[in-house]
Amino acid sequence: MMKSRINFIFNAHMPFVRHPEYPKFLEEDWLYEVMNESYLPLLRMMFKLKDDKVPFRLTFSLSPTLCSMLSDDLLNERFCTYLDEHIELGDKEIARLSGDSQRCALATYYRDELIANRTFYNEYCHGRILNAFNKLSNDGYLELITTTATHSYLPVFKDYPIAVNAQIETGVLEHSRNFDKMSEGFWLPECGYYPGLENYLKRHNIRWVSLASHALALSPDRPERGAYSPVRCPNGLYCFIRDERFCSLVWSDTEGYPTDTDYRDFYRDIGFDLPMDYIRPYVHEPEVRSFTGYKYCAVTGKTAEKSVYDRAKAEAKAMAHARNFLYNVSCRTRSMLDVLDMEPVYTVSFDAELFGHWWFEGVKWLDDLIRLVAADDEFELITPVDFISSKTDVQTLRPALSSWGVGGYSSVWVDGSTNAKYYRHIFKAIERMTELAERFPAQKSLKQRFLNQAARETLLLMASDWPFIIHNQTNAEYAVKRLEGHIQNVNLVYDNMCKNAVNTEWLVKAEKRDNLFKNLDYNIMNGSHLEEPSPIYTAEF
Amino acid sequence: MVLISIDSLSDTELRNIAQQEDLEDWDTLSREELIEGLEHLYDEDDDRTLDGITGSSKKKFVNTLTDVQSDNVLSLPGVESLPESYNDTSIHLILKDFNWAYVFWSLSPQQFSELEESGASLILRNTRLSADDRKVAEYDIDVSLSDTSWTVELPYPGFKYKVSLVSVVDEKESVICTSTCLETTQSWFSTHPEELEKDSVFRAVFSSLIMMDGTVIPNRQLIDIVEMLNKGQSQEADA
Repeated sequence: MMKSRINFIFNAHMPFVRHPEYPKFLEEDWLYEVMNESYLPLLRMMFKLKDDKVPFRLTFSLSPTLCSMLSDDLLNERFCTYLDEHIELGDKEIARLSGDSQRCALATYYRDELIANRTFYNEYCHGRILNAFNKLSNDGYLELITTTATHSYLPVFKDYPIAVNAQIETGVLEHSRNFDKMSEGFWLPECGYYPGLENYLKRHNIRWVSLASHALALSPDRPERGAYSPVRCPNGLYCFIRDERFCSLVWSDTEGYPTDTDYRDFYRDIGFDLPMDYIRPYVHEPEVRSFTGYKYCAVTGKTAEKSVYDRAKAEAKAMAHARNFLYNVSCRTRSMLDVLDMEPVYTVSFDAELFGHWWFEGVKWLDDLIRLVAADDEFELITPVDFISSKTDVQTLRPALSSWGVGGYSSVWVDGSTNAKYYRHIFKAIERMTELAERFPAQKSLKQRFLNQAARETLLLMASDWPFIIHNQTNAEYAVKRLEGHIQNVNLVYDNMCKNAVNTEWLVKAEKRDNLFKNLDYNIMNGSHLEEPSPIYTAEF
Repeated sequence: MVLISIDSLSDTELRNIAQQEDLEDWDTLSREELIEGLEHLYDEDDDRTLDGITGSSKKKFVNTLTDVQSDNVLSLPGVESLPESYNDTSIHLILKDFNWAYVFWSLSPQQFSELEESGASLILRNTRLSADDRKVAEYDIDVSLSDTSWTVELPYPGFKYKVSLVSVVDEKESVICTSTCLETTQSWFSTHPEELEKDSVFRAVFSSLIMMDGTVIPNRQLIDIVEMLNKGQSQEADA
């Protein structure tokens, strides 16, 4: 029997959003929502599997911006407040819905999940979610990897090797600060790859990446085994190729599992349905309605007349979909028996926030799937390092330029109408930061802090999130302000340094707000830095 | 600005959003009137809705049903608005798609004045180069002095491309600035489509790229290869 090996990779990422200048901030809720609805439920699920002695191997990429926020005292304190407030809202909902048994049961379920998350967060994580991920990695369940410092989409920065290297190096260094094991893999944001990028990754001893499927199918070399086996770049970097068909079973908005009519509707939420006087303490000032997480409708269909969400029905559907996924995997492997000369590896990668937050039943689906795999010899969960350690021969091939964005290239992040106009400023800021690092090397004290902060701002303005949000026109104004703000900050440091001055008022406020990457050294942006050995370590592949 | 999933919202939700957006008579309008009013309100800024965005990514960074005006992000002290241009002349080329690139340029104020005074016309020259940097072809696009960006086609994969901004005064051309080269690659299968006619090769390479509805993933190059293959097969059948 040919075994099907499944390589799940989850990309956990949130842009750096931190506003100590306000007591409550709408976009900070992005983090609290995914902590409550994705990261904690996923962790609880994995610890339960461990307690039940169910074996599993998964890969998680935890972005440096996310790790910075998950380690931040202020944001963690605010998250506790978020949990408390939403538990309080649950109590109110249970009382309000006492005459409606279906909705009341749902409100009770949500409230109890919040309480369970709070308990897990305090007792298992000790207020730091990264501790739980680290524990699962040390116990052999997870392979943890890093990504670029600010989830920067690298193909657009191809002409700025210093900046590309700074993004990768900072990502690797931050990972080693946060976790016990070094990152052997590297999540390329949006699966963005361009030929030559592997050289910067090799420099930091990265052993593998995951690429979109057309990176292989459109290679200038003839692919031998398709996406069923990883390939190696000529410099030895392993590339695990995403299986688009299996990813679309989960990911697609038209045919994916999450579109099932029995699942919970993402958009219908009491934050928009109940009177402002009732909901005011749980939304944002000045009376800006937002999601609360209390959602009582099933997807039902494209209609305003939604059915009440039936949790038991949805859970049964999640199990059916887990079985269906494995059925599809099994069928494919059997259909490829005459073609493949090795057991296939199916790489399926997703944003981690899909599970629980966007697709409410996604955590249950994953739990069911892992338990089904554990009970069936036909399947095996592996991580890329497991495969690499098996020393299986793979093809050497040059991957093609690619991303997992719409169309397969860069048109989401450089769309020509909404976000492309910012690149003249982004590129100029990178050039200015590089110039500053080269003109003022090895500064001490205040100027060093000033330049370090400019380097942080440079990394932040390279984040893929801002052009993505501007393209999608969701909270676009916030993204524009953030992007422009980081560019303005670099310009301020440049203008000051050219006059041999330091704006201390700016510096103190910028350090307080954009307080990530505490060990960042601005000399990383000096061209000569690329000629030096990587500070990581320099072992051979 | 957008309003998300408008057709799926309840009457109460629509009314609450209408109230938040100060839509006139929000409390007496019918469902149809509320939808029409909100669409009109949002369309004033942008005619897109999130329904046009594909994939689960449409739920990314969404915690409200409307694109809230975030006017409360404070700038740090001392910063200045982004300038219209910087004090230098440069041109950049970024690949958008496998055969389309975004090009933007800037002219220093001094250069701009000189060009304006001389009455120069401007050309954006797209040059195609071979792998060993020999010029293969070029085409010109007339641009004006006030233009600062363009989208250019890179029609043939497997070549390098660069763009130059060229001034023309009295039929005399002068290159103002030139971008770095952008390299495009030609896939092995686009030059060997017959290989895909072998069932084992096609299944190995394309079975992970075909969606449940039987279509190949929406990538222009892959679709072209499949069409090339289909054409070859139908010609064979006709013969």
